Amino acid sequence: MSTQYTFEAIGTHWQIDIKDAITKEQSGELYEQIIKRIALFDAHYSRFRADSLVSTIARAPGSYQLPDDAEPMLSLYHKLYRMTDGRFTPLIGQALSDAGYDAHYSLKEKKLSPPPPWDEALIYNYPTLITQLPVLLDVGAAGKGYLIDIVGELLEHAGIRNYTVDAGGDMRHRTTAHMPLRVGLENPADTTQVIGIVDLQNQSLCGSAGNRRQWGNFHHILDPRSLTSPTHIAALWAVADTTLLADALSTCLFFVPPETLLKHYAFEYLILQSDFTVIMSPHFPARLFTVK
Amino acid sequence: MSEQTSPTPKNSRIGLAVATGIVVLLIILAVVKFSGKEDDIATTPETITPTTNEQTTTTRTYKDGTYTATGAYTSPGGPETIVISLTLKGGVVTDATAQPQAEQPISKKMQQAFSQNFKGMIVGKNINEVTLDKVSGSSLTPKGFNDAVEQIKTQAAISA
Repeated sequence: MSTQYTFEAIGTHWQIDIKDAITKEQSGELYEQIIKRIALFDAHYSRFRADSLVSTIARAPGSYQLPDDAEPMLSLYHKLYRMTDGRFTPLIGQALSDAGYDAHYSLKEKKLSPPPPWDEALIYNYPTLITQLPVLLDVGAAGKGYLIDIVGELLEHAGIRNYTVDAGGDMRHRTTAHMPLRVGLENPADTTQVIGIVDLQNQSLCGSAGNRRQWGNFHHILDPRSLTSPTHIAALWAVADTTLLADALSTCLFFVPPETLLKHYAFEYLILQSDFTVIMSPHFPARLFTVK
Repeated sequence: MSEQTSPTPKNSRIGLAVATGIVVLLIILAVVKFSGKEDDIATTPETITPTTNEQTTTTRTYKDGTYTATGAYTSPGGPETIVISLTLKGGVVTDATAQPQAEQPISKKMQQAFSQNFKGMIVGKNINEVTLDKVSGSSLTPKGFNDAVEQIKTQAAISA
């Protein structure tokens, strides 16, 4: 007996599979809790909503109280900002918006300016965030992964031990039965194909590729230095213990070599370069299809 | 929107795959030639056959099988070797591995990086040919985004 929820939220498709037996009543309650929790996250962090905290912060510099859930995500942003020499930054919001990835999906490019340095723009001391300049924050490089963890923890709090939370192909898997999830890695050149299979077990997998959310000269990842979207990588995937970390690293790997990040974090990676050669960590849990 | 969003046309991928196959083969041949360890190398009869490729006038054919060769070179830290195996079938490289043998730390690191990348070209398999629970790649795009792309295309078509 298993339960499945599918719905659209935060701009992507969600599928939650629960393998533990739960009652119909429990299932209904859980679904309601999940939807409410996601709505709360959206109300805080969406830069596409005029009533969100992020939009409020963007209107005027000042001192803001952050929500209870902000600490793990923003602290990770701060650490990775330093490790990537400023290229992984929540201050990329305005540049992304000016590139055309804005609240109305205008997809029209305006003049882009590099994001300000963290120390000039922000004083972050949880639970307070002081903005010294008008800043449009964007947590798109880690927010979805973090929300997947939050939903997973909500399920665990309800006693569920065997489940998968999948939001648009980024996912967190938990099992007590040593039953790995077989996940195909989408071929960015042909989405009817996969280039390999990952056996995911009690970890999270996040992928990033430039083949979707692509417009004009851009895709969803923007290098704050060059103000262009990187083209040397066709797709990449990261496996880590949390989806927050896997998601954030899958953007960082567009900017810095894996070795820089491996000094601080445990993760496995697979980088499919634009010439279709692969750089893979020794224990990335995948079998790849190679030229035969 | 498929023609605009596909970053790598299929033909160029096939071309790259073939090119890489040839490059790999050339590297192997070079290693075989310079290793000087005749015993380790399965020798094959060479035949010259005509070819349709305008740039080369001759080509060699090789017997099916797995060939292993040890390549030796001098690194700044001293002499090093690397063992390369490759499987040929019908004149096509079907598998290739590189086994690092280096002793100097820097050479070790470089050979490991080389052997990780060596396998080279990745290919796709149709999703319906494999058993999967899920697929992971670029996130499915929100409906609003796709609608906007379509609108822009329509506008572009009208103004063109």
